[in-house]
Amino acid sequence: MSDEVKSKSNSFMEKVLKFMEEKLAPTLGKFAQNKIVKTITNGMMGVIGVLVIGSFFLLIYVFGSNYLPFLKPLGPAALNGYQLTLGIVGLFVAASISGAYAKEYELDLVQTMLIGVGAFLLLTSKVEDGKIAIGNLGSSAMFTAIICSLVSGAIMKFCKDKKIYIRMPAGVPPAIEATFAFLVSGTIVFTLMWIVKSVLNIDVITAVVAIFAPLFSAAENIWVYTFRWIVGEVLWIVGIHPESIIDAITGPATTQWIAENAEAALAGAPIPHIWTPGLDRITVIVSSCYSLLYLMFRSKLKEMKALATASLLPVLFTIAEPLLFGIPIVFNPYLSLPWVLSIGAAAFANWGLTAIGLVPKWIVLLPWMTPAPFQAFLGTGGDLRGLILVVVDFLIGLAIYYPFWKMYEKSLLEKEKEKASEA
Amino acid sequence: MKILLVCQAGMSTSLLVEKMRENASSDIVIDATNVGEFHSKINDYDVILIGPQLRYRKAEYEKLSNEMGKPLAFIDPMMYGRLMGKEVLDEAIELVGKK
Repeated sequence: MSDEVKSKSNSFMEKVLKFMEEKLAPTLGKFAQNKIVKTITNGMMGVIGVLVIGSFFLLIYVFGSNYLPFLKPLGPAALNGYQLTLGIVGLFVAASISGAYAKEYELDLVQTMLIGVGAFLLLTSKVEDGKIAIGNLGSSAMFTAIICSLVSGAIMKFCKDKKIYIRMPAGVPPAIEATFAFLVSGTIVFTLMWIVKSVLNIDVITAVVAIFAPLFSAAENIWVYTFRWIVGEVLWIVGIHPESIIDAITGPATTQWIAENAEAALAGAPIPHIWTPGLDRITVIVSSCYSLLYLMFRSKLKEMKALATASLLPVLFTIAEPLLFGIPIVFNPYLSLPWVLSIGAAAFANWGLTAIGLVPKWIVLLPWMTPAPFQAFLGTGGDLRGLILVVVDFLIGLAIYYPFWKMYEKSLLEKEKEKASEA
Repeated sequence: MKILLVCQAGMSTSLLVEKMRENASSDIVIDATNVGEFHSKINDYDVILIGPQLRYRKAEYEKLSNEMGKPLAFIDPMMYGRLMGKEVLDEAIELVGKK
């Protein structure tokens, strides 16, 4: 590229980046600050621990059934472990969202969570023969759990604000006072849910699923997926962490989808969803960071080699910040474009390869920082074909980065030469 | 002196925390936390440093800093990415001094 062309494209990039920082960032900031958004985000984050541990039970079951015979006897027990964790994820979501609501709106934490859990049970379940169906507490009830907890919390907050509670005389211990303080609002919440399900027998879960299903199935395609990643990464290169905002929207959906995939895998049914948290973890790190590290290690620039060494372990655990801010990639006219393109291309390829059946779908939720190769192998239930994505993404990243990296390297080498000649 | 670093998950800042601890005297406490937890911890620390990727929350955090009377700053992106522990530590100490 001639110097003139380069400087024109640089200033264009700078203008775009400046616009994003000054106009887009504050708007996103406001969105992220929104109390309901925060409640849902924090609430969903709260259940991840339970989901991941539940996934380990699923892994034991899958490996026991297919690969490691010595684990097979543990199968039924592992299944039980899975069912009581991932299998009733709705219940945990109800607790977690209620808790997040309490923290956000300054209600008593324990009371809000207890009433939220009770409300969810009353809204979704009926006791027959001393049993309740766990199907009503699982992934299909996840959105019901979110809505139920928000409603329950809102009623409690309303009562607190309007001072609708039974007052206790001074000298009563705070814990007892707290219970009585929420007696009225709790009664309202429970009665409401009781009327809906136990009295009127309305199937809320099916209704909620019916309302949201078209929205989600519309979103579940390769174009939305690629778009989500391109937009997300454009935000990164202006130094905004997109996960907190985008995940607030996609998180509940992808969590539900991986839970549904797990259920399908156990039932021996075809696995429904491509878009899962595990796929996201591969998309975000391999094409952009693995390939860049490779180029950095082979660079003549000592600085880059050193940075690559320092960043190796974080990148392995899916932390890209040392590269994003260290090279830096953010606000870097040479590297910001390939960053976005490599991840966008990886998103497109990953979805496509999964859709044509070359690569398996994810059925297990692993901790988000699980290194990509392990994510690809364990997350798919021990299917080595998952590693195809890692290889493909690495090659895509390498192909896209190479020309830009060479230009960037050249500019740095020239700067070094200039400094040396000035000295 | 107690310094709190905040980022999205508490992971990337914990790398920086290690580097800072190497350069800090024994009477300085340095911890990392994530975005969800930091509101509840802010009272226990003298200065708060936020990861640059949370810059879009600048207005919200500046308000929080004023309300709580705690100095708060965003870590410089380069220093953050290159894990320049000593430089970030010096900045934190300077911020507390200015108060």
